[in-house]
Amino acid sequence: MKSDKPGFMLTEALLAMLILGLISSSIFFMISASNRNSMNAWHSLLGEQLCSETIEVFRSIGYNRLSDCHDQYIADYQLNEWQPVTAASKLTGISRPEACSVFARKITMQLLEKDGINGILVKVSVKLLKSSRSEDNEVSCSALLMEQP
Amino acid sequence: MMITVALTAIISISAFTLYRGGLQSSLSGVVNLDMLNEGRKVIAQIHTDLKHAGIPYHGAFSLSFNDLLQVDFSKNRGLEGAEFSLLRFKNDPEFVRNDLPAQDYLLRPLISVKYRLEKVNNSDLLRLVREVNQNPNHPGSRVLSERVSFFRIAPVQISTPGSVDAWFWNISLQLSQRSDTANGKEPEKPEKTRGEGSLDFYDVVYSEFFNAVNNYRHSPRNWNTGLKYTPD
Repeated sequence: MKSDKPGFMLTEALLAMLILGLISSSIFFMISASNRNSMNAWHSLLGEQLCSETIEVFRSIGYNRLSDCHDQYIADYQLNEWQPVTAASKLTGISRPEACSVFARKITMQLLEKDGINGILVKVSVKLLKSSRSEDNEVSCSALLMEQP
Repeated sequence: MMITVALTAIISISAFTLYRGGLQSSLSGVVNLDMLNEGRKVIAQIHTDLKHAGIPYHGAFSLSFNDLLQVDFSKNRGLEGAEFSLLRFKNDPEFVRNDLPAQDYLLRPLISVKYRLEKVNNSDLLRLVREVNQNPNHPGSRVLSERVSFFRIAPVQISTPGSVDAWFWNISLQLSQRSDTANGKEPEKPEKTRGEGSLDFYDVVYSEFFNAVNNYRHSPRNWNTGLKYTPD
Protein backbone atom coordinates (compact mmCIF):
# COMPACT_ATOMS: atom_id res chain seq x y z
CA MET A 1 0.00 0.00 0.00
CA LYS A 2 1.44 3.35 -0.98
CA SER A 3 0.78 6.56 0.93
CA ASP A 4 -0.27 9.71 -0.93
CA LYS A 5 1.41 12.03 1.56
CA PRO A 6 5.16 12.72 1.41
CA GLY A 7 7.39 11.71 4.40
CA PHE A 8 8.16 8.57 6.32
CA MET A 9 5.60 6.01 7.35
CA LEU A 10 5.35 4.99 10.98
CA THR A 11 6.72 1.55 10.18
CA GLU A 12 9.74 3.08 8.42
CA ALA A 13 10.42 5.42 11.35
CA LEU A 14 10.12 2.54 13.82
CA LEU A 15 12.47 0.45 11.71
CA ALA A 16 14.93 3.37 11.58
CA MET A 17 14.71 3.71 15.36
CA LEU A 18 15.41 0.03 15.79
CA ILE A 19 18.47 0.18 13.54
CA LEU A 20 19.68 3.36 15.22
CA GLY A 21 19.10 1.77 18.61
CA LEU A 22 21.28 -1.18 17.66
CA ILE A 23 24.02 1.10 16.32
CA SER A 24 23.76 3.39 19.35
CA SER A 25 24.01 0.56 21.82
CA SER A 26 27.05 -0.86 20.05
CA ILE A 27 28.70 2.60 20.04
CA PHE A 28 27.77 2.98 23.71
CA PHE A 29 29.41 -0.32 24.53
CA MET A 30 32.47 0.71 22.52
CA ILE A 31 32.81 3.99 24.44
CA SER A 32 32.20 2.16 27.68
CA ALA A 33 34.91 -0.38 26.84
CA SER A 34 37.27 2.43 25.85
CA ASN A 35 36.70 4.22 29.16
CA ARG A 36 37.12 0.98 31.06
CA ASN A 37 40.40 0.28 29.27
CA SER A 38 41.56 3.80 30.01
CA MET A 39 40.72 3.34 33.70
CA ASN A 40 42.40 -0.07 33.65
CA ALA A 41 45.59 1.52 32.31
CA TRP A 42 45.44 4.13 35.08
CA HIS A 43 44.76 1.53 37.74
CA SER A 44 47.51 -0.72 36.40
CA LEU A 45 49.98 2.14 36.70
CA LEU A 46 48.89 2.91 40.27
CA GLY A 47 49.07 -0.80 41.10
CA GLU A 48 52.62 -0.98 39.70
CA GLN A 49 53.59 2.10 41.70
CA LEU A 50 52.20 0.59 44.90
CA CYS A 51 54.13 -2.62 44.25
CA SER A 52 57.39 -0.85 43.42
CA GLU A 53 57.04 1.39 46.49
CA THR A 54 57.02 -1.68 48.73
CA ILE A 55 59.89 -3.35 46.92
CA GLU A 56 61.89 -0.12 47.14
CA VAL A 57 61.36 0.17 50.90
CA PHE A 58 62.15 -3.50 51.58
CA ARG A 59 65.20 -3.42 49.31
CA SER A 60 66.49 -0.42 51.21
CA ILE A 61 66.07 -2.23 54.53
CA GLY A 62 67.96 -5.20 53.12
CA TYR A 63 68.20 -8.89 53.89
CA ASN A 64 70.10 -8.63 57.15
CA ARG A 65 67.54 -6.51 58.95
CA LEU A 66 64.50 -8.11 57.33
CA SER A 67 65.60 -11.61 58.33
CA ASP A 68 65.84 -10.47 61.96
CA CYS A 69 62.31 -9.13 61.89
CA HIS A 70 59.63 -11.45 63.22
CA ASP A 71 56.83 -8.90 63.48
CA GLN A 72 53.70 -8.78 61.40
CA TYR A 73 54.45 -5.15 60.57
CA ILE A 74 57.46 -3.45 59.01
CA ALA A 75 56.85 0.29 59.38
CA ASP A 76 53.16 0.25 58.41
CA TYR A 77 53.51 -2.54 55.87
CA GLN A 78 51.49 -5.48 57.11
CA LEU A 79 52.71 -8.94 56.16
CA ASN A 80 50.70 -11.93 54.91
CA GLU A 81 47.30 -10.22 54.87
CA TRP A 82 45.40 -7.96 52.52
CA GLN A 83 45.74 -4.42 53.85
CA PRO A 84 43.79 -1.43 52.47
CA VAL A 85 46.10 1.25 51.07
CA THR A 86 45.76 4.75 52.47
CA ALA A 87 46.44 7.97 50.60
CA ALA A 88 48.71 9.23 53.35
CA SER A 89 50.62 7.07 55.78
CA LYS A 90 50.98 8.60 59.25
CA LEU A 91 53.73 6.21 60.24
CA THR A 92 55.94 6.49 57.17
CA GLY A 93 54.92 9.95 55.95
CA ILE A 94 54.57 8.65 52.39
CA SER A 95 51.83 10.47 50.53
CA ARG A 96 50.06 8.78 47.65
CA PRO A 97 47.35 9.89 45.20
CA GLU A 98 43.80 9.73 46.57
CA ALA A 99 43.00 7.10 43.96
CA CYS A 100 45.31 4.66 45.76
CA SER A 101 42.74 4.24 48.51
CA VAL A 102 40.68 1.97 46.24
CA PHE A 103 43.43 -0.65 46.44
CA ALA A 104 44.43 -3.33 48.90
CA ARG A 105 47.95 -4.73 49.15
CA LYS A 106 49.38 -8.02 50.35
CA ILE A 107 53.05 -8.56 51.14
CA THR A 108 54.68 -11.92 51.77
CA MET A 109 58.28 -12.76 52.64
CA GLN A 110 59.84 -16.16 52.18
CA LEU A 111 63.29 -17.12 53.43
CA LEU A 112 65.33 -19.02 50.87
CA GLU A 113 68.59 -20.92 51.21
CA LYS A 114 70.66 -22.80 48.67
CA ASP A 115 74.29 -23.95 49.00
CA GLY A 116 74.84 -21.64 51.95
CA ILE A 117 73.54 -18.60 50.10
CA ASN A 118 70.61 -16.92 51.82
CA GLY A 119 67.95 -14.68 50.45
CA ILE A 120 64.43 -13.41 50.96
CA LEU A 121 61.77 -13.53 48.29
CA VAL A 122 59.45 -10.54 48.70
CA LYS A 123 56.15 -10.80 46.85
CA VAL A 124 53.72 -7.90 46.60
CA SER A 125 50.20 -8.13 45.19
CA VAL A 126 47.87 -5.19 44.71
CA LYS A 127 44.18 -5.44 43.81
CA LEU A 128 41.15 -3.19 43.60
CA LEU A 129 38.97 -3.37 46.70
CA LYS A 130 35.73 -3.31 44.70
CA SER A 131 35.72 -4.76 41.28
CA SER A 132 33.22 -6.76 39.29
CA ARG A 133 36.03 -8.59 37.56
CA SER A 134 38.44 -10.31 39.87
CA GLU A 135 40.60 -12.13 37.35
CA ASP A 136 42.34 -9.13 35.79
CA ASN A 137 42.55 -6.52 38.51
CA GLU A 138 45.56 -7.84 40.41
CA VAL A 139 49.09 -6.59 39.88
CA SER A 140 51.96 -8.56 41.36
CA CYS A 141 55.70 -8.19 41.50
CA SER A 142 58.51 -9.81 43.44
CA ALA A 143 62.13 -9.21 44.32
CA LEU A 144 64.91 -11.39 45.64
CA LEU A 145 66.96 -9.76 48.39
CA MET A 146 70.30 -11.47 48.95
CA GLU A 147 72.35 -11.63 52.10
CA GLN A 148 75.18 -9.10 52.40
CA PRO A 149 78.42 -11.02 51.72
CA MET B 1 2.84 12.84 10.12
CA MET B 2 3.31 14.54 13.49
CA ILE B 3 4.36 11.26 15.06
CA THR B 4 6.91 10.70 12.29
CA VAL B 5 8.35 14.20 12.72
CA ALA B 6 8.56 13.70 16.49
CA LEU B 7 10.28 10.34 16.09
CA THR B 8 12.72 11.78 13.54
CA ALA B 9 13.52 14.62 15.94
CA ILE B 10 14.11 12.18 18.79
CA ILE B 11 16.35 10.08 16.56
CA SER B 12 18.32 13.13 15.38
CA ILE B 13 18.80 14.58 18.86
CA SER B 14 19.89 11.29 20.37
CA ALA B 15 22.24 10.64 17.43
CA PHE B 16 23.81 14.09 17.86
CA THR B 17 24.15 13.68 21.64
CA LEU B 18 25.72 10.29 21.15
CA TYR B 19 28.13 11.65 18.55
CA ARG B 20 29.14 14.59 20.77
CA GLY B 21 29.54 12.42 23.87
CA GLY B 22 31.54 9.84 21.95
CA LEU B 23 33.81 12.50 20.50
CA GLN B 24 34.45 14.08 23.89
CA SER B 25 35.01 10.73 25.53
CA SER B 26 37.36 9.64 22.77
CA LEU B 27 39.38 12.88 22.93
CA SER B 28 39.53 12.76 26.71
CA GLY B 29 40.68 9.13 26.59
CA VAL B 30 43.46 9.93 24.12
CA VAL B 31 44.65 12.92 26.17
CA ASN B 32 44.53 10.90 29.39
CA LEU B 33 46.55 8.08 27.85
CA ASP B 34 49.04 10.64 26.54
CA MET B 35 49.33 12.18 30.02
CA LEU B 36 49.67 8.72 31.54
CA ASN B 37 52.64 7.93 29.31
CA GLU B 38 54.17 11.34 29.90
CA GLY B 39 53.83 11.04 33.67
CA ARG B 40 55.28 7.55 33.63
CA LYS B 41 58.34 8.79 31.72
CA VAL B 42 58.83 11.81 33.99
CA ILE B 43 58.61 9.68 37.13
CA ALA B 44 61.02 7.10 35.66
CA GLN B 45 63.54 9.84 34.84
CA ILE B 46 63.37 11.39 38.31
CA HIS B 47 63.56 7.93 39.90
CA THR B 48 66.80 7.16 38.00
CA ASP B 49 68.36 10.50 38.94
CA LEU B 50 67.52 10.18 42.63
CA LYS B 51 68.54 6.53 42.74
CA HIS B 52 72.04 7.54 41.56
CA ALA B 53 72.25 10.66 43.74
CA GLY B 54 75.49 11.13 45.64
CA ILE B 55 77.94 13.73 46.86
CA PRO B 56 81.73 13.96 46.52
CA TYR B 57 83.34 11.80 49.11
CA HIS B 58 86.56 12.96 50.73
CA GLY B 59 87.42 10.24 53.19
CA ALA B 60 85.39 10.03 56.35
CA PHE B 61 82.52 12.48 56.56
CA SER B 62 79.19 12.96 58.15
CA LEU B 63 76.40 12.71 55.62
CA SER B 64 72.86 13.95 56.03
CA PHE B 65 70.14 12.83 53.66
CA ASN B 66 69.15 16.43 53.05
CA ASP B 67 72.63 17.12 51.64
CA LEU B 68 71.80 15.08 48.57
CA LEU B 69 68.97 17.21 47.20
CA GLN B 70 68.74 20.97 47.42
CA VAL B 71 65.28 22.48 47.02
CA ASP B 72 65.09 26.18 46.23
CA PHE B 73 61.83 28.12 46.54
CA SER B 74 63.65 31.44 46.93
CA LYS B 75 61.92 33.03 43.93
CA ASN B 76 58.83 33.17 46.14
CA ARG B 77 56.38 32.52 43.33
CA GLY B 78 55.08 29.21 44.65
CA LEU B 79 55.98 26.28 42.48
CA GLU B 80 56.93 28.56 39.60
CA GLY B 81 60.68 29.04 39.65
CA ALA B 82 61.26 26.22 42.13
CA GLU B 83 64.47 24.30 41.59
CA PHE B 84 65.52 20.85 42.74
CA SER B 85 69.27 20.28 42.40
CA LEU B 86 71.34 17.19 42.96
CA LEU B 87 74.56 15.50 41.99
CA ARG B 88 74.33 12.03 40.56
CA PHE B 89 76.56 9.31 39.22
CA LYS B 90 76.48 8.68 35.51
CA ASN B 91 74.77 5.61 34.13
CA ASP B 92 77.85 4.53 32.27
CA PRO B 93 80.83 4.26 34.62
CA GLU B 94 84.09 5.87 33.65
CA PHE B 95 86.51 3.49 35.24
CA VAL B 96 89.67 5.36 34.47
CA ARG B 97 90.04 9.08 34.17
CA ASN B 98 92.87 9.89 31.83
CA ASP B 99 93.23 13.46 33.05
CA LEU B 100 94.35 12.32 36.50
CA PRO B 101 98.03 11.82 37.17
CA ALA B 102 97.34 8.44 38.70
CA GLN B 103 95.56 6.56 35.99
CA ASP B 104 95.00 3.47 38.03
CA TYR B 105 92.16 4.87 40.10
CA LEU B 106 88.65 3.60 39.83
CA LEU B 107 86.41 6.63 39.71
CA ARG B 108 82.83 7.43 38.89
CA PRO B 109 82.31 11.07 38.12
CA LEU B 110 79.33 13.04 39.38
CA ILE B 111 77.20 15.21 37.16
CA SER B 112 74.89 18.02 38.19
CA VAL B 113 71.15 17.64 37.54
CA LYS B 114 68.58 20.35 38.13
CA TYR B 115 64.79 20.20 37.83
CA ARG B 116 63.20 23.58 37.28
CA LEU B 117 59.55 24.63 37.10
CA GLU B 118 58.82 27.44 34.66
CA LYS B 119 55.69 29.29 33.70
CA VAL B 120 54.08 28.30 30.40
CA ASN B 121 52.88 31.20 28.23
CA ASN B 122 49.10 31.74 28.23
CA SER B 123 48.56 29.01 30.77
CA ASP B 124 48.62 28.55 34.50
CA LEU B 125 50.30 25.19 34.10
CA LEU B 126 54.01 24.78 34.61
CA ARG B 127 56.82 23.44 32.51
CA LEU B 128 59.18 20.91 34.10
CA VAL B 129 62.70 21.23 32.74
CA ARG B 130 65.56 18.86 33.46
CA GLU B 131 68.95 20.51 33.14
CA VAL B 132 72.11 18.43 33.07
CA ASN B 133 75.46 20.06 33.58
CA GLN B 134 77.68 17.28 32.37
CA ASN B 135 80.05 19.61 30.64
CA PRO B 136 80.21 23.12 32.14
CA ASN B 137 80.64 24.59 28.68
CA HIS B 138 77.65 22.78 27.21
CA PRO B 139 74.81 22.44 29.72
CA GLY B 140 71.92 20.51 28.23
CA SER B 141 68.28 20.95 29.12
CA ARG B 142 65.15 19.06 28.16
CA VAL B 143 61.49 19.82 28.72
CA LEU B 144 59.89 16.83 30.42
CA SER B 145 56.33 18.17 30.58
CA GLU B 146 54.39 21.35 29.94
CA ARG B 147 51.29 20.50 31.93
CA VAL B 148 52.49 20.21 35.49
CA SER B 149 50.04 21.46 38.10
CA PHE B 150 51.82 20.03 41.13
CA PHE B 151 55.31 18.74 41.76
CA ARG B 152 57.10 17.89 44.97
CA ILE B 153 60.06 15.84 46.11
CA ALA B 154 59.95 15.43 49.88
CA PRO B 155 62.28 13.43 52.15
CA VAL B 156 60.68 10.60 54.11
CA GLN B 157 62.18 8.81 57.10
CA ILE B 158 60.98 5.30 57.91
CA SER B 159 61.71 3.49 61.14
CA THR B 160 62.84 0.03 60.21
CA PRO B 161 63.91 -3.08 62.12
CA GLY B 162 67.33 -2.46 63.62
CA SER B 163 68.88 0.76 64.78
CA VAL B 164 69.22 2.63 61.49
CA ASP B 165 66.29 4.45 59.90
CA ALA B 166 65.76 4.35 56.17
CA TRP B 167 65.51 7.53 54.13
CA PHE B 168 63.59 7.97 50.91
CA TRP B 169 62.28 10.62 48.60
CA ASN B 170 58.56 10.77 48.02
CA ILE B 171 57.86 12.18 44.56
CA SER B 172 54.41 13.63 43.84
CA LEU B 173 53.44 14.81 40.40
CA GLN B 174 50.13 15.98 38.99
CA LEU B 175 49.61 16.60 35.28
CA SER B 176 46.52 18.46 34.10
CA GLN B 177 44.78 19.40 30.91
CA ARG B 178 43.76 22.63 32.57
CA SER B 179 45.10 24.40 35.62
CA ASP B 180 43.21 24.86 38.83
CA THR B 181 46.04 24.85 41.33
CA ALA B 182 48.49 27.58 40.35
CA ASN B 183 47.23 30.43 42.48
CA GLY B 184 50.47 32.15 43.31
CA LYS B 185 51.10 30.09 46.43
CA GLU B 186 52.86 26.82 46.82
CA PRO B 187 50.12 24.20 47.20
CA GLU B 188 50.73 21.78 50.01
CA LYS B 189 49.16 18.90 48.15
CA PRO B 190 47.57 18.33 44.76
CA GLU B 191 43.98 19.41 44.24
CA LYS B 192 41.38 16.68 44.32
CA THR B 193 40.33 16.91 40.69
CA ARG B 194 40.86 13.35 39.60
CA GLY B 195 38.83 12.31 36.60
CA GLU B 196 38.55 15.91 35.36
CA GLY B 197 41.63 16.03 33.20
CA SER B 198 44.14 15.53 36.01
CA LEU B 199 46.30 12.53 36.72
CA ASP B 200 48.37 11.98 39.85
CA PHE B 201 51.62 10.09 40.00
CA TYR B 202 53.87 9.22 42.89
CA ASP B 203 56.99 7.27 43.58
CA VAL B 204 59.28 6.34 46.45
CA VAL B 205 63.00 6.05 45.87
CA TYR B 206 66.17 5.81 47.92
CA SER B 207 69.70 6.77 47.03
CA GLU B 208 72.00 3.76 46.62
CA PHE B 209 74.92 5.87 47.74
CA PHE B 210 73.24 7.18 50.89
CA ASN B 211 71.84 3.77 51.72
CA ALA B 212 75.30 2.21 51.58
CA VAL B 213 76.87 4.99 53.65
CA ASN B 214 74.02 4.92 56.16
CA ASN B 215 73.92 1.16 56.61
CA TYR B 216 77.61 0.34 56.35
CA ARG B 217 79.40 3.38 57.68
CA HIS B 218 82.90 1.93 57.69
CA SER B 219 82.88 0.13 54.36
CA PRO B 220 85.03 1.50 51.53
CA ARG B 221 83.15 3.46 48.87
CA ASN B 222 84.66 1.85 45.87
CA TRP B 223 82.56 3.81 43.38
CA ASN B 224 84.11 7.16 44.15
CA THR B 225 86.91 6.94 46.63
CA GLY B 226 89.71 5.80 44.43
CA LEU B 227 90.26 2.17 45.17
CA LYS B 228 93.43 0.85 43.60
CA TYR B 229 92.56 -0.53 40.21
CA THR B 230 94.81 -3.41 39.22
CA PRO B 231 93.93 -4.92 35.86
CA ASP B 232 94.93 -8.54 35.30
